[in-house]
Amino acid sequence: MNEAILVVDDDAEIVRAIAILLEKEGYRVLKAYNGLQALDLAMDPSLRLILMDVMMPKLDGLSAVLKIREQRNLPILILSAKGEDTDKILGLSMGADDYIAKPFHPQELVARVRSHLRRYTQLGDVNAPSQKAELVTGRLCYLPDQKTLLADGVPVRLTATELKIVDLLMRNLGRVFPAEEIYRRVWNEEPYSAENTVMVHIRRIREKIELNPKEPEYLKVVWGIGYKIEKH
Amino acid sequence: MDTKSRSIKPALAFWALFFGVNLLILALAAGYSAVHTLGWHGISDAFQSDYQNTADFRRTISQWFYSFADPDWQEHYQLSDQNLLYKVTKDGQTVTTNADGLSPDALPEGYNFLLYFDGETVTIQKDGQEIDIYGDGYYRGEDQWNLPGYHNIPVPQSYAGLTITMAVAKEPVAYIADTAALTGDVITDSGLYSTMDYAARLQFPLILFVVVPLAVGAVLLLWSILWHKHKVRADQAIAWFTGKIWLEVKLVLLIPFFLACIAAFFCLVSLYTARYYTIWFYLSVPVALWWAYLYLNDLRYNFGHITANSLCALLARLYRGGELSWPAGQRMMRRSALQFLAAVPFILGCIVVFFLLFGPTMSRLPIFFLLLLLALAGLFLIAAQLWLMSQNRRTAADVDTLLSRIQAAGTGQASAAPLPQDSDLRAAVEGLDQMEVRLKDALSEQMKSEKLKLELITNVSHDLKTPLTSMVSYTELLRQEEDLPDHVRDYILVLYQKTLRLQAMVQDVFDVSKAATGNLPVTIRPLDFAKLLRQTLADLDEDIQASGLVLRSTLPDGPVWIMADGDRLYRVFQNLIGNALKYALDGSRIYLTLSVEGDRAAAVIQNTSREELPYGVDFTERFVRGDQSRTDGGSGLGLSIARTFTEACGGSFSIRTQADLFTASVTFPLTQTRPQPEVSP
Repeated sequence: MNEAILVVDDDAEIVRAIAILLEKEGYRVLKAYNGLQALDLAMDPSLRLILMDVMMPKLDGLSAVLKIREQRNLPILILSAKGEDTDKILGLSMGADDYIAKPFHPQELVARVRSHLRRYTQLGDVNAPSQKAELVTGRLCYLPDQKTLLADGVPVRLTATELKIVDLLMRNLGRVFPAEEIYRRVWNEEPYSAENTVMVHIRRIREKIELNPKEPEYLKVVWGIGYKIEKH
Repeated sequence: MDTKSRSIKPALAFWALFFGVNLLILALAAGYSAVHTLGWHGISDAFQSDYQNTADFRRTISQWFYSFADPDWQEHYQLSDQNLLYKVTKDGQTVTTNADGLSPDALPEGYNFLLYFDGETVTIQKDGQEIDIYGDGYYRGEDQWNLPGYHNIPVPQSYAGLTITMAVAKEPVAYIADTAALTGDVITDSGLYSTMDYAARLQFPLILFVVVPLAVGAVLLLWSILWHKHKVRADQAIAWFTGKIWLEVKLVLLIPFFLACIAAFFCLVSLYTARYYTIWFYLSVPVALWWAYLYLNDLRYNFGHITANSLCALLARLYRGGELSWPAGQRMMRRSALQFLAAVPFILGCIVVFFLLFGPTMSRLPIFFLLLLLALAGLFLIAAQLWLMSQNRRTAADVDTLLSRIQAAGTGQASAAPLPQDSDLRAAVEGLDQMEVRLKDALSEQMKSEKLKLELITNVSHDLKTPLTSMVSYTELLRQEEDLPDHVRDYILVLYQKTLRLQAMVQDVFDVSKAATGNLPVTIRPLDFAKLLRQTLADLDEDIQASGLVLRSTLPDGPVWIMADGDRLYRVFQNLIGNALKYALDGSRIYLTLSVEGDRAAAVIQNTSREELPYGVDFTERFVRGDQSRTDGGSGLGLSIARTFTEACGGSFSIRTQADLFTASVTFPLTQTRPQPEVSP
């Protein structure tokens, strides 16, 4: 049985391109070209995820998201060309799960869809009370006891040093660590060229855990201060 | 009460008073002058039907009696008038007579009055009846006969042996003497005829000028008193008319009024001094009286607004009317000029009076008038001064209002109430009002235009990004296509790279537009400038290594705290370093230094350009690049973004070129603020 994904955009070419990309990944794609069509198709029981454009005729994406949210509890990803931070916040507050700015990189889109679906299906019971030992932020889940980091429920392969950094940052979610402190804690040495050394590792970890390493969502640089893993 | 009588009654009441009073004055004056000239007896004589009962008659007879008794008269004179017959004997001998047969026992025909003096007492018989002459024996006045025989008028010794008989005609006739036949001192007129005639003739004028005016005047006065209510209305009507007259006219008319008063005073005094003037002079009394009435009446009803209708008030009104059309400065100047104009005659007058007082002697009257004029000029000066003062005070208060208004406008508060119409500064306040309105309009206009700009940027960005999405997506699909010839695959790679570049450019355009219109959201926090640069270098390490260039950085070991948005500032240095890597001469060195000078931290990036740098080009202008051909990569917005982002964060950005040396510097003020404790370790 194929998981169905609803793609909504008033630009038919974009819908087609996304459909091709997703179908290659083995998903079934439902297509809608405005908010009203989206509302009809959203009731399909096999539907697992929705990709929704914002600026559309008849019924705009955000209103459609609000309506669908009344009926269905499934991941909804907003696609928007507006790219304003305020739009992003508005979209998320309307009940969307993620926000992808146009023009998106096709591989990132697919990665995000996969990530959300995996979380939704495999960790569908994320809603259930999680174990105390777990440290969860967004798609990341760190199990301190097993020294294991899960991204979308899949263990991430990390080197010992990388794991130490992740361990430090995940245990102190949201806290900013200067490179010197990370160096001292991880390497147990007086820092030498700390910034460069830490940055190299940070970049490598990003490539393993971020969907788009160039625009990291979790492992972030606080410019002029240090590094942190964002609390989602 | 019908309307007609209502309109007539006040007039009637007034005229009754007017004529009543005037007639009474006439009666009193005529009466007084009659009494004064005629005496009370003269007046009563006029109303005697029998002239022999008049005081004038008694006086005449008495005078003739003494004349006849006088030996001198007896010797030299003779009376020829037959209205009075006389016979004087001395010791039985007739001394003088004009009627030989006259005896006290029998009166001739036509004569009814007999006086006989027997040497001791006088007896008078009238119509055969004897008249009591002496009464209680004392003489008290003209009621009585002024004849000897009273206790207080004893008979002179010389009258001894003298008898006098006098007979008077009942109705005297004018006696025309035949003067040619007369010799010696013959008196032709006894005065009896004129005595009778005068008394008779006096009666009519006395009735006409005294009795009738007195009676009619009293009645009219009584009438007007009874109609007091209507009279009051008449007074009000008159006051209404006199109220129309300028105060100055009234004041000037005071001079003739005083003259009239003086004349009236002299008239009244003349009643005692018995000096007589022409009848016109006597007119001064009623004239002064009614003039006084007009003044008092005017004062009574118009006192509250006595100054309202005056030439001065009119001129002032005209002046103010004109003043409103003058600019404020001119108004103030002209007020001062008015004061000056008032001061000049005053000072000149002072000088003239000084010379008159201490110079050659002069009569007093011109000096008096000069002093009067001087006082007037002084009053005018004081009035002008007071007016100027009050205007200045008002203007000063208005200046305060204006200042507070300007302050309020400066802080953007609502406006206060406007100034009155005639205020000097009204134009200024109105201008201020307009300014506020315009400013408000301009502000809202600007805000609207800013909003429009932002909307335009957003829309353009949206419209660019949508097709770009398709391009990126289909290029990606092409890339995933297998079994393609190598050269096609090569084309697709170019397509892919250029699409990515286009995407970056669109994002840059969007960013720089937002920053240029002040719509770039920034989160200003304290950060370590040195650390930010180290992080940036670490972040771009791969690119630097790949470029084959050497980047020499000189950064302080310690933190350099500034206030900025870290993400934006990272973009600044990403662009600057990226720019240096792109345009630096192969194998040359890029220098990055951060130095603290005073209270500012300056980061400077220097590189040697591969191409010759064009002279006089502002590299921070949008779409400006070192090479004019635009064939290489880059949006041409790197430096523009660097500048706008730096400025959005509160720093300053500058670019210098010297020969092939390209220098960009980013300067920020240092801060004492430190990051929040939960963020720092």
